[in-house]
Amino acid sequence: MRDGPISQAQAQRFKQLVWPLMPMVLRTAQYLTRHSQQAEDLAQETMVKAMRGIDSYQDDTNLKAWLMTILRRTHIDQLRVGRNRPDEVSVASDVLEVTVPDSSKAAGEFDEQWEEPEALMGRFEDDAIIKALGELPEDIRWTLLLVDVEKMEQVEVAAILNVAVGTIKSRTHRGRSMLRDRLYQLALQRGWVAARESTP
Amino acid sequence: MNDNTQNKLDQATSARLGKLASKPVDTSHLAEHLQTLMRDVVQQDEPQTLRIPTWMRWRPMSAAAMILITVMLGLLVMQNTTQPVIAAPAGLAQINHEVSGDMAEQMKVTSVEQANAMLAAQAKGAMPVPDLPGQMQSCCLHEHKGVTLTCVSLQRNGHLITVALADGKKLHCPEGETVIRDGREFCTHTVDKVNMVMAHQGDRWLCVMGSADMEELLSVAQDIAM
Repeated sequence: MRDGPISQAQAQRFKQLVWPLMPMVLRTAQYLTRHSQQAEDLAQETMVKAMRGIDSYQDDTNLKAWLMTILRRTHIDQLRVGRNRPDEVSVASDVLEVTVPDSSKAAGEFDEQWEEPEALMGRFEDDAIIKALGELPEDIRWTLLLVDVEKMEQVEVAAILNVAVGTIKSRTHRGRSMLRDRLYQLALQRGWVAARESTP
Repeated sequence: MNDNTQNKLDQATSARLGKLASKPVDTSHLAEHLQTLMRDVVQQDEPQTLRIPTWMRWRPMSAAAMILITVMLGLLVMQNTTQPVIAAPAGLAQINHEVSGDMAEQMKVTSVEQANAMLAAQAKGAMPVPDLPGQMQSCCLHEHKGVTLTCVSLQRNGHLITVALADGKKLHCPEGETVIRDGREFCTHTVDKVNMVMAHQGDRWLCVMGSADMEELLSVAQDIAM
Protein backbone atom coordinates (compact mmCIF):
# COMPACT_ATOMS: atom_id res chain seq x y z
CA MET A 1 0.00 0.00 0.00
CA ARG A 2 1.49 3.32 -1.07
CA ASP A 3 2.58 5.87 1.52
CA GLY A 4 2.07 8.97 -0.60
CA PRO A 5 -0.53 11.65 -0.05
CA ILE A 6 -4.17 10.93 -0.51
CA SER A 7 -6.61 13.16 -2.30
CA GLN A 8 -9.32 15.20 -0.67
CA ALA A 9 -11.90 13.00 -2.36
CA GLN A 10 -10.34 9.85 -0.95
CA ALA A 11 -10.19 11.36 2.52
CA GLN A 12 -13.79 12.45 2.24
CA ARG A 13 -14.93 8.98 1.11
CA PHE A 14 -12.98 7.37 3.92
CA LYS A 15 -14.55 9.71 6.46
CA GLN A 16 -17.99 9.11 5.10
CA LEU A 17 -17.81 5.33 4.84
CA VAL A 18 -15.16 3.90 7.12
CA TRP A 19 -14.94 6.42 9.94
CA PRO A 20 -18.30 5.38 11.46
CA LEU A 21 -17.00 1.81 11.74
CA MET A 22 -14.06 2.86 13.90
CA PRO A 23 -15.67 1.60 17.16
CA MET A 24 -16.19 -1.82 15.60
CA VAL A 25 -12.56 -1.98 14.47
CA LEU A 26 -11.18 -0.91 17.83
CA ARG A 27 -13.50 -3.20 19.76
CA THR A 28 -12.60 -6.21 17.63
CA ALA A 29 -8.92 -5.32 17.98
CA GLN A 30 -9.36 -5.26 21.76
CA TYR A 31 -11.03 -8.67 21.76
CA LEU A 32 -8.24 -10.01 19.57
CA THR A 33 -5.25 -8.62 21.42
CA ARG A 34 -6.66 -8.17 24.95
CA HIS A 35 -4.18 -5.33 25.28
CA SER A 36 -5.39 -1.77 25.04
CA GLN A 37 -2.26 -0.26 23.46
CA GLN A 38 -1.81 -3.12 21.03
CA ALA A 39 -5.47 -2.94 20.17
CA GLU A 40 -5.15 0.74 19.39
CA ASP A 41 -2.06 0.12 17.24
CA LEU A 42 -3.87 -2.62 15.37
CA ALA A 43 -6.98 -0.52 14.88
CA GLN A 44 -4.95 2.49 13.76
CA GLU A 45 -2.95 0.50 11.24
CA THR A 46 -6.15 -1.03 9.94
CA MET A 47 -7.84 2.34 9.56
CA VAL A 48 -4.81 3.84 7.83
CA LYS A 49 -4.71 0.94 5.38
CA ALA A 50 -8.42 1.39 4.78
CA MET A 51 -7.90 5.10 4.16
CA ARG A 52 -5.10 4.55 1.68
CA GLY A 53 -6.90 1.69 0.03
CA ILE A 54 -10.32 3.30 -0.04
CA ASP A 55 -10.34 3.20 -3.85
CA SER A 56 -10.26 -0.60 -3.72
CA TYR A 57 -13.58 -0.63 -1.90
CA GLN A 58 -16.43 -0.97 -4.36
CA ASP A 59 -19.77 0.57 -3.52
CA ASP A 60 -22.63 -1.84 -3.02
CA THR A 61 -20.31 -4.46 -1.56
CA ASN A 62 -20.06 -5.34 2.12
CA LEU A 63 -18.04 -2.55 3.71
CA LYS A 64 -17.87 -4.32 7.07
CA ALA A 65 -16.47 -7.46 5.44
CA TRP A 66 -13.97 -5.35 3.48
CA LEU A 67 -12.78 -3.64 6.64
CA MET A 68 -12.65 -6.85 8.66
CA THR A 69 -10.50 -8.44 5.96
CA ILE A 70 -8.03 -5.57 6.32
CA LEU A 71 -8.11 -5.94 10.09
CA ARG A 72 -7.42 -9.65 9.92
CA ARG A 73 -4.52 -9.26 7.50
CA THR A 74 -3.06 -6.48 9.59
CA HIS A 75 -3.38 -8.61 12.70
CA ILE A 76 -1.62 -11.52 11.00
CA ASP A 77 1.16 -9.17 9.85
CA GLN A 78 1.61 -7.84 13.36
CA LEU A 79 1.72 -11.35 14.82
CA ARG A 80 4.36 -12.31 12.27
CA VAL A 81 6.67 -9.51 13.29
CA GLY A 82 6.17 -10.27 16.95
CA ARG A 83 3.82 -7.45 17.87
CA ASN A 84 0.47 -8.07 19.52
CA ARG A 85 1.48 -11.27 21.19
CA PRO A 86 -1.62 -12.75 22.73
CA ASP A 87 0.22 -13.62 25.92
CA GLU A 88 0.41 -9.96 26.90
CA VAL A 89 -2.82 -9.51 28.75
CA SER A 90 -4.02 -6.28 30.24
CA VAL A 91 -7.64 -6.06 29.20
CA ALA A 92 -9.77 -8.18 31.50
CA SER A 93 -6.75 -8.86 33.68
CA ASP A 94 -8.90 -8.59 36.74
CA VAL A 95 -10.86 -11.63 35.74
CA LEU A 96 -10.13 -14.76 37.71
CA GLU A 97 -7.56 -16.98 36.15
CA VAL A 98 -9.26 -19.96 34.68
CA THR A 99 -7.67 -23.34 34.45
CA VAL A 100 -7.53 -24.06 30.77
CA PRO A 101 -9.18 -27.40 30.12
CA ASP A 102 -7.03 -30.24 28.98
CA SER A 103 -6.80 -29.91 25.23
CA SER A 104 -7.11 -33.65 24.87
CA LYS A 105 -10.66 -33.47 26.13
CA ALA A 106 -13.36 -32.83 23.58
CA ALA A 107 -15.06 -29.44 23.39
CA GLY A 108 -18.43 -29.35 25.10
CA GLU A 109 -17.24 -31.37 28.04
CA PHE A 110 -19.56 -29.47 30.35
CA ASP A 111 -22.44 -28.95 27.95
CA GLU A 112 -24.54 -31.61 29.69
CA GLN A 113 -24.27 -29.70 32.95
CA TRP A 114 -25.59 -26.36 31.69
CA GLU A 115 -28.97 -25.73 33.21
CA GLU A 116 -30.81 -22.57 32.16
CA PRO A 117 -27.94 -21.56 29.86
CA GLU A 118 -29.36 -18.13 29.12
CA ALA A 119 -29.54 -17.19 32.79
CA LEU A 120 -26.07 -18.49 33.55
CA MET A 121 -24.56 -16.81 30.49
CA GLY A 122 -26.12 -13.55 31.58
CA ARG A 123 -24.24 -13.68 34.89
CA PHE A 124 -20.83 -13.38 33.25
CA GLU A 125 -19.51 -9.87 32.89
CA ASP A 126 -18.09 -8.77 29.54
CA ASP A 127 -14.48 -9.04 30.65
CA ALA A 128 -14.94 -12.69 31.60
CA ILE A 129 -16.40 -13.46 28.21
CA ILE A 130 -13.60 -11.55 26.48
CA LYS A 131 -10.95 -13.37 28.45
CA ALA A 132 -12.49 -16.75 27.69
CA LEU A 133 -12.73 -15.77 24.05
CA GLY A 134 -9.08 -14.75 24.08
CA GLU A 135 -8.06 -18.18 25.22
CA LEU A 136 -9.53 -19.83 22.18
CA PRO A 137 -7.34 -20.67 19.18
CA GLU A 138 -6.92 -17.81 16.72
CA ASP A 139 -9.08 -19.24 13.93
CA ILE A 140 -11.89 -20.14 16.34
CA ARG A 141 -11.75 -16.75 18.03
CA TRP A 142 -11.96 -14.93 14.70
CA THR A 143 -14.92 -17.07 13.71
CA LEU A 144 -16.86 -16.32 16.89
CA LEU A 145 -15.98 -12.63 16.70
CA LEU A 146 -17.38 -12.37 13.21
CA VAL A 147 -20.31 -14.79 13.44
CA ASP A 148 -21.55 -14.23 16.98
CA VAL A 149 -20.26 -10.81 18.00
CA GLU A 150 -20.58 -8.96 14.71
CA LYS A 151 -23.45 -11.17 13.49
CA MET A 152 -22.02 -11.50 10.01
CA GLU A 153 -23.28 -14.10 7.57
CA GLN A 154 -21.30 -17.33 7.48
CA VAL A 155 -20.67 -16.85 3.76
CA GLU A 156 -19.12 -13.43 4.45
CA VAL A 157 -17.05 -14.82 7.29
CA ALA A 158 -15.86 -17.66 5.07
CA ALA A 159 -14.69 -15.06 2.53
CA ILE A 160 -12.93 -12.98 5.15
CA LEU A 161 -11.16 -15.96 6.70
CA ASN A 162 -10.59 -17.54 3.31
CA VAL A 163 -12.08 -20.92 4.22
CA ALA A 164 -15.14 -22.92 3.17
CA VAL A 165 -18.54 -22.15 4.65
CA GLY A 166 -18.62 -25.67 6.09
CA THR A 167 -15.44 -24.89 7.99
CA ILE A 168 -17.06 -21.80 9.47
CA LYS A 169 -20.07 -23.85 10.57
CA SER A 170 -17.95 -26.44 12.33
CA ARG A 171 -15.66 -23.79 13.84
CA THR A 172 -18.67 -21.90 15.14
CA HIS A 173 -20.12 -24.98 16.78
CA ARG A 174 -16.82 -26.05 18.24
CA GLY A 175 -15.89 -22.54 19.32
CA ARG A 176 -19.12 -22.02 21.23
CA SER A 177 -18.61 -25.33 23.05
CA MET A 178 -15.02 -24.41 23.91
CA LEU A 179 -16.13 -21.05 25.21
CA ARG A 180 -18.83 -22.63 27.34
CA ASP A 181 -16.31 -25.06 28.82
CA ARG A 182 -14.17 -22.16 29.99
CA LEU A 183 -17.10 -20.23 31.30
CA TYR A 184 -18.52 -23.23 33.10
CA GLN A 185 -15.24 -23.72 34.89
CA LEU A 186 -15.32 -20.09 35.90
CA ALA A 187 -18.88 -20.56 37.14
CA LEU A 188 -17.66 -23.49 39.20
CA GLN A 189 -14.87 -21.39 40.69
CA ARG A 190 -17.31 -18.67 41.52
CA GLY A 191 -19.68 -21.17 43.08
CA TRP A 192 -22.49 -20.34 40.70
CA VAL A 193 -22.90 -24.02 39.87
CA ALA A 194 -22.21 -27.12 41.91
CA ALA A 195 -19.59 -29.57 40.79
CA ARG A 196 -20.91 -32.89 39.65
CA GLU A 197 -19.76 -35.81 37.65
CA SER A 198 -20.09 -35.33 33.93
CA THR A 199 -21.93 -37.90 31.91
CA PRO A 200 -19.45 -40.28 30.30
CA MET B 1 -27.51 -34.46 24.44
CA ASN B 2 -30.37 -33.85 22.08
CA ASP B 3 -30.39 -31.26 19.33
CA ASN B 4 -32.88 -29.07 21.12
CA THR B 5 -30.68 -28.73 24.20
CA GLN B 6 -27.64 -28.14 22.01
CA ASN B 7 -29.50 -25.42 20.10
CA LYS B 8 -30.50 -23.70 23.30
CA LEU B 9 -26.90 -23.71 24.48
CA ASP B 10 -25.69 -22.33 21.14
CA GLN B 11 -28.35 -19.65 21.11
CA ALA B 12 -27.50 -18.56 24.65
CA THR B 13 -23.79 -18.48 23.80
CA SER B 14 -24.36 -16.56 20.58
CA ALA B 15 -26.68 -14.10 22.28
CA ARG B 16 -24.17 -13.45 25.05
CA LEU B 17 -21.35 -12.94 22.56
CA GLY B 18 -23.57 -10.64 20.55
CA LYS B 19 -23.82 -8.31 23.51
CA LEU B 20 -20.09 -7.64 23.20
CA ALA B 21 -20.81 -5.73 20.01
CA SER B 22 -22.55 -3.03 22.00
CA LYS B 23 -19.79 -2.74 24.59
CA PRO B 24 -18.75 0.92 24.51
CA VAL B 25 -15.22 1.70 23.39
CA ASP B 26 -13.34 4.94 23.72
CA THR B 27 -12.28 5.88 20.21
CA SER B 28 -11.25 9.45 21.07
CA HIS B 29 -7.53 8.69 21.18
CA LEU B 30 -7.62 6.71 17.96
CA ALA B 31 -9.78 9.34 16.26
CA GLU B 32 -7.36 12.06 17.27
CA HIS B 33 -4.42 10.08 15.89
CA LEU B 34 -6.23 9.49 12.63
CA GLN B 35 -7.30 13.12 12.32
CA THR B 36 -3.70 14.25 12.68
CA LEU B 37 -2.53 11.65 10.20
CA MET B 38 -5.21 12.62 7.72
CA ARG B 39 -4.28 16.28 8.02
CA ASP B 40 -0.71 15.38 7.17
CA VAL B 41 -1.35 13.08 4.25
CA VAL B 42 -4.14 15.13 2.71
CA GLN B 43 -2.33 18.43 3.09
CA GLN B 44 0.86 17.20 1.45
CA ASP B 45 -0.39 18.77 -1.77
CA GLU B 46 -0.54 22.20 -0.16
CA PRO B 47 3.16 23.04 0.44
CA GLN B 48 3.89 22.81 -3.29
CA THR B 49 1.43 25.60 -3.82
CA LEU B 50 2.94 27.61 -1.02
CA ARG B 51 6.45 27.25 -2.46
CA ILE B 52 5.43 29.08 -5.64
CA PRO B 53 7.33 32.40 -5.71
CA THR B 54 5.30 35.46 -4.89
CA TRP B 55 5.85 37.08 -8.29
CA MET B 56 4.38 34.00 -9.95
CA ARG B 57 1.36 34.20 -7.77
CA TRP B 58 0.74 37.80 -8.86
CA ARG B 59 0.43 36.77 -12.48
CA PRO B 60 -2.72 34.66 -12.10
CA MET B 61 -4.07 37.27 -9.72
CA SER B 62 -3.49 39.98 -12.34
CA ALA B 63 -5.12 37.83 -14.97
CA ALA B 64 -8.07 37.25 -12.68
CA ALA B 65 -8.34 40.98 -12.02
CA MET B 66 -8.20 41.71 -15.76
CA ILE B 67 -10.94 39.19 -16.42
CA LEU B 68 -13.03 40.71 -13.66
CA ILE B 69 -12.58 44.22 -15.02
CA THR B 70 -13.35 43.06 -18.57
CA VAL B 71 -16.48 41.32 -17.42
CA MET B 72 -17.56 44.40 -15.48
CA LEU B 73 -16.91 46.66 -18.46
CA GLY B 74 -18.75 44.25 -20.70
CA LEU B 75 -21.70 44.27 -18.35
CA LEU B 76 -21.58 48.06 -18.30
CA VAL B 77 -21.54 48.23 -22.10
CA MET B 78 -24.30 45.67 -22.33
CA GLN B 79 -26.32 47.62 -19.82
CA ASN B 80 -25.81 50.78 -21.84
CA THR B 81 -26.68 49.13 -25.10
CA THR B 82 -29.67 47.28 -23.86
CA GLN B 83 -31.14 50.24 -22.00
CA PRO B 84 -33.48 52.29 -24.21
CA VAL B 85 -32.37 55.72 -25.34
CA ILE B 86 -34.56 58.78 -25.57
CA ALA B 87 -35.19 60.06 -29.06
CA ALA B 88 -33.79 63.52 -29.76
CA PRO B 89 -36.25 65.78 -31.61
CA ALA B 90 -33.44 67.78 -33.21
CA GLY B 91 -31.86 64.64 -34.63
CA LEU B 92 -35.22 63.44 -35.87
CA ALA B 93 -35.86 66.78 -37.57
CA GLN B 94 -32.57 66.37 -39.42
CA ILE B 95 -33.63 62.90 -40.55
CA ASN B 96 -36.91 64.37 -41.76
CA HIS B 97 -35.01 66.93 -43.82
CA GLU B 98 -32.90 64.25 -45.39
CA VAL B 99 -35.82 61.95 -46.14
CA SER B 100 -38.17 64.56 -47.45
CA GLY B 101 -35.38 66.39 -49.24
CA ASP B 102 -34.38 63.11 -50.94
CA MET B 103 -30.88 63.47 -49.58
CA ALA B 104 -30.65 60.05 -48.04
CA GLU B 105 -30.06 56.80 -49.85
CA GLN B 106 -33.68 56.05 -50.44
CA MET B 107 -35.42 53.22 -52.15
CA LYS B 108 -38.39 54.08 -54.25
CA VAL B 109 -41.33 51.98 -53.16
CA THR B 110 -45.04 52.01 -53.76
CA SER B 111 -46.32 49.34 -51.39
CA VAL B 112 -45.74 48.04 -47.90
CA GLU B 113 -44.72 44.60 -49.24
CA GLN B 114 -42.19 46.13 -51.56
CA ALA B 115 -40.82 48.31 -48.81
CA ASN B 116 -40.45 45.42 -46.38
CA ALA B 117 -38.81 43.21 -48.98
CA MET B 118 -36.25 45.87 -49.80
CA LEU B 119 -35.60 46.72 -46.15
CA ALA B 120 -35.18 43.06 -45.24
CA ALA B 121 -32.65 42.68 -48.02
CA GLN B 122 -30.77 45.74 -46.82
CA ALA B 123 -30.64 44.97 -43.11
CA LYS B 124 -31.56 41.94 -41.17
CA GLY B 125 -34.00 42.72 -38.40
CA ALA B 126 -35.10 46.05 -39.75
CA MET B 127 -38.36 47.19 -38.24
CA PRO B 128 -41.11 46.22 -40.73
CA VAL B 129 -43.32 48.85 -42.25
CA PRO B 130 -46.99 48.64 -41.24
CA ASP B 131 -49.94 49.72 -43.34
CA LEU B 132 -49.68 53.43 -43.80
CA PRO B 133 -52.46 55.97 -44.49
CA GLY B 134 -51.01 57.64 -47.62
CA GLN B 135 -49.07 57.17 -50.79
CA MET B 136 -45.66 55.64 -50.13
CA GLN B 137 -42.82 57.41 -51.91
CA SER B 138 -39.66 55.83 -50.62
CA CYS B 139 -38.09 54.08 -47.70
CA CYS B 140 -34.69 53.93 -46.12
CA LEU B 141 -32.81 53.06 -42.95
CA HIS B 142 -31.36 55.69 -40.67
CA GLU B 143 -29.41 55.52 -37.49
CA HIS B 144 -30.41 57.64 -34.57
CA LYS B 145 -28.53 57.48 -31.28
CA GLY B 146 -27.35 54.00 -32.11
CA VAL B 147 -30.81 52.74 -32.95
CA THR B 148 -31.83 51.78 -36.48
CA LEU B 149 -34.89 53.59 -37.75
CA THR B 150 -37.05 52.48 -40.64
CA CYS B 151 -38.08 55.61 -42.41
CA VAL B 152 -40.82 55.95 -44.98
CA SER B 153 -41.67 59.00 -46.97
CA LEU B 154 -45.40 59.38 -47.33
CA GLN B 155 -47.55 61.65 -49.46
CA ARG B 156 -50.85 62.60 -47.84
CA ASN B 157 -53.17 65.48 -48.50
CA GLY B 158 -50.44 67.29 -50.33
CA HIS B 159 -47.97 66.99 -47.51
CA LEU B 160 -44.80 65.04 -47.50
CA ILE B 161 -44.69 63.19 -44.22
CA THR B 162 -41.91 61.10 -42.79
CA VAL B 163 -42.82 58.07 -40.72
CA ALA B 164 -40.05 56.65 -38.62
CA LEU B 165 -40.28 53.34 -36.79
CA ALA B 166 -37.93 51.73 -34.30
CA ASP B 167 -37.71 48.98 -31.74
CA GLY B 168 -39.67 50.24 -28.74
CA LYS B 169 -37.26 48.49 -26.38
CA LYS B 170 -34.40 50.57 -27.70
CA LEU B 171 -35.95 53.95 -28.29
CA HIS B 172 -38.34 55.93 -26.11
CA CYS B 173 -40.17 59.22 -26.56
CA PRO B 174 -38.74 62.38 -25.02
CA GLU B 175 -40.96 64.31 -22.63
CA GLY B 176 -43.23 66.68 -24.50
CA GLU B 177 -46.81 67.84 -24.83
CA THR B 178 -49.04 64.84 -24.44
CA VAL B 179 -52.10 64.32 -26.58
CA ILE B 180 -54.62 61.54 -26.04
CA ARG B 181 -56.54 60.32 -29.11
CA ASP B 182 -58.85 57.30 -29.03
CA GLY B 183 -57.20 56.19 -25.82
CA ARG B 184 -53.73 56.30 -27.34
CA GLU B 185 -51.10 58.61 -25.98
CA PHE B 186 -48.98 60.75 -28.24
CA CYS B 187 -46.35 63.31 -27.45
CA THR B 188 -45.71 66.24 -29.73
CA HIS B 189 -42.60 68.29 -30.48
CA THR B 190 -41.66 70.98 -32.88
CA VAL B 191 -38.05 71.60 -33.89
CA ASP B 192 -36.85 73.72 -36.81
CA LYS B 193 -40.40 74.05 -38.12
CA VAL B 194 -40.74 70.32 -38.15
CA ASN B 195 -43.73 69.03 -36.26
CA MET B 196 -43.46 65.62 -34.67
CA VAL B 197 -45.94 63.23 -33.19
CA MET B 198 -44.39 60.33 -31.32
CA ALA B 199 -45.92 57.29 -29.77
CA HIS B 200 -44.57 54.34 -27.87
CA GLN B 201 -46.64 51.25 -27.70
CA GLY B 202 -45.65 47.74 -27.01
CA ASP B 203 -42.45 46.96 -28.80
CA ARG B 204 -42.67 49.80 -31.25
CA TRP B 205 -41.69 53.41 -31.29
CA LEU B 206 -43.27 55.65 -33.88
CA CYS B 207 -42.62 59.16 -35.06
CA VAL B 208 -44.68 60.95 -37.69
CA MET B 209 -43.08 64.22 -38.70
CA GLY B 210 -43.08 66.84 -41.36
CA SER B 211 -44.09 70.37 -42.13
CA ALA B 212 -47.79 69.46 -41.98
CA ASP B 213 -49.70 70.75 -39.01
CA MET B 214 -49.90 68.78 -35.82
CA GLU B 215 -53.51 67.68 -36.40
CA GLU B 216 -52.62 66.18 -39.75
CA LEU B 217 -49.68 64.35 -38.22
CA LEU B 218 -51.81 63.19 -35.32
CA SER B 219 -54.33 61.86 -37.79
CA VAL B 220 -51.64 59.89 -39.61
CA ALA B 221 -50.24 58.56 -36.34
CA GLN B 222 -53.68 57.50 -35.24
CA ASP B 223 -54.22 55.56 -38.43
CA ILE B 224 -51.03 53.53 -38.04
CA ALA B 225 -51.71 50.29 -36.26
CA MET B 226 -49.04 49.63 -33.68
